[in-house]
Amino acid sequence: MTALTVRSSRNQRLDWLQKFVFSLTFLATVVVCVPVAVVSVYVISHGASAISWEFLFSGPARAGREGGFFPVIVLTMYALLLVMLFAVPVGVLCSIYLAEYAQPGRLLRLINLTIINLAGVPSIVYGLFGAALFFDVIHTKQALWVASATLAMQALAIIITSSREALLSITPGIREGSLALGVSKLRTTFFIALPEAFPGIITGSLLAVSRAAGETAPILIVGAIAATNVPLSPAAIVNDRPQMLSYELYYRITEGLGLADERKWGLALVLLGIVLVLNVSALLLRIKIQSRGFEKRN
Amino acid sequence: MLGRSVMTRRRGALLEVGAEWFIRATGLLTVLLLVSILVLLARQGVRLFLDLDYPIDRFFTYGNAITDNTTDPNQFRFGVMPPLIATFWVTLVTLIFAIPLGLMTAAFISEIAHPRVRLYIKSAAELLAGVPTIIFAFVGLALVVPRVNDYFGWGAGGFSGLTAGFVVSFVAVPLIISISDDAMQAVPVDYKENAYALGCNKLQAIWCVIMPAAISGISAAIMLGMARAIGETMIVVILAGGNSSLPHDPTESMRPMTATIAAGFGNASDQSLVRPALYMIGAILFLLTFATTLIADAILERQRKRFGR
Repeated sequence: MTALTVRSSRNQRLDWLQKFVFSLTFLATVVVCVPVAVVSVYVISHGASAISWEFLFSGPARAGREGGFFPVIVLTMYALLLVMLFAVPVGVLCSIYLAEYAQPGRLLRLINLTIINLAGVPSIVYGLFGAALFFDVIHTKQALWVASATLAMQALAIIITSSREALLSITPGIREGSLALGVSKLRTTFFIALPEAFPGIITGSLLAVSRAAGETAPILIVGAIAATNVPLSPAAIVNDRPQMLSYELYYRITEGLGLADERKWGLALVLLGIVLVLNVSALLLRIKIQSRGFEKRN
Repeated sequence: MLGRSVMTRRRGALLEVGAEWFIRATGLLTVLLLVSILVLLARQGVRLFLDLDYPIDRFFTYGNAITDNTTDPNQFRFGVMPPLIATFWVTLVTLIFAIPLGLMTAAFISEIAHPRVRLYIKSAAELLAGVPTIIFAFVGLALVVPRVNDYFGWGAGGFSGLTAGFVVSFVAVPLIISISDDAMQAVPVDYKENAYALGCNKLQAIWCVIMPAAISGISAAIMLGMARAIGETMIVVILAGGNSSLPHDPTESMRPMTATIAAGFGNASDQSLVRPALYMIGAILFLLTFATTLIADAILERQRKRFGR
């Protein structure tokens, strides 16, 4: 009898402890989720009033205190486009090698380890590498290209990882069916496997580009500049220095009392908007792929 | 007729072999990229000692890291110790906040909450990971710095290693959550069922069975979060205060390695000793994160072998 009551009181204590710890973990989860809300609400509430047609679609006046940031937005788009052009083909080819051609062994292990490490290299180190490679070894002066290439090198690891994942998750029967019909391996890869993996590849590329859009440290190193009043011509993509949104924001934050707070938050809002649109579309695409895979299996 | 079709097939085949070799070459490109990052940074950095005659022992022991443009090695007051220690403090603070938060959240979404909640939280964590760190820095500047200054008065007007570390922890947390959640999910269901059969309640099952079984994945998650904190730049540039002397505790204003590079590189003139010194810091930074990532991967590999996934 006494043994039983001791046991039950012990169980009760355990139950209380469990409730306590579980509520703690719940609290931690809330604390982790709150910053997403705080950051977006804060940026929107402080920056929304600055957003206007002029802010988005006209050039800066009086060193950015008036007018808008159209050149910055356009050059950011140029740079992101270049990042995609540089990184996606190389990344996809590399993932094709890893998923379709590489034999398990030391070399594959080495390359996998390399990719994990590339993903872990700090962005500022990519910046230093870009500066050393393009300015001191290759001696180029086209700064926007250099910035995009530097960001592209950083984007590579994400694109390779997600494309490889996408290629490996294709139902093997499709590939084998094509091979059994006498289609060569290369054609099977490009005409059967790649289209099947396409949504996954797009997801990875979107994520990589959104990372590149927010990256400030590398372009800080390879010579980003703040908004100037240059008229935009198609030649800008070749000749201009990288005036990217992320750097513009950094410059405006640190330049002192130059710019009204509202305009800085406006810039932050535009940047956050671009990044979140890319991120959310990647997320939705992935959820769609996952649910499609789920239907297939059932 | 037959001959011709064989001929065209062979031409196509030759092209295919060429394309396949090209694909193989791009596979090796990643290795080339990683090696050339280290080689190029080291080459640019070693110039400081070989060509510019800056004494090595001074580089490793000097208690300040001033990046003023000087061409005279005797006037250059730059040591790697202050940025290194500053990075250590910021990373420590980050981990103190991020480890409990990350692990508890991972335990909650992996074992306690409804699977649907897990999906939502993981998505939220991913969005959190996607927010540019410059925006975190800006929000931290507006929300965290004034409060740190009012309540604690740390650092230079609220700018301190602790402030920066606190904000960086929100960047490291999503990574820790995602990897340790994967690790806990990888623990076979039998483990949990056996624990319940032995009379464990859920908490005991998590604490005594699942977490120990997933310990390698969890420690890898922490190491990768650490690598992220070491390499984080914009938050520490803006929030850590920027004092270049040796910090003695995390509440001081300081300038970690990444911030030293970011703050000094743009203003450095080509002839001065600053750029080689910063390349050297970059090389050390690279090696630090490289080692951390390698160890994390070795630990993860052990877990994969153990559970066969």
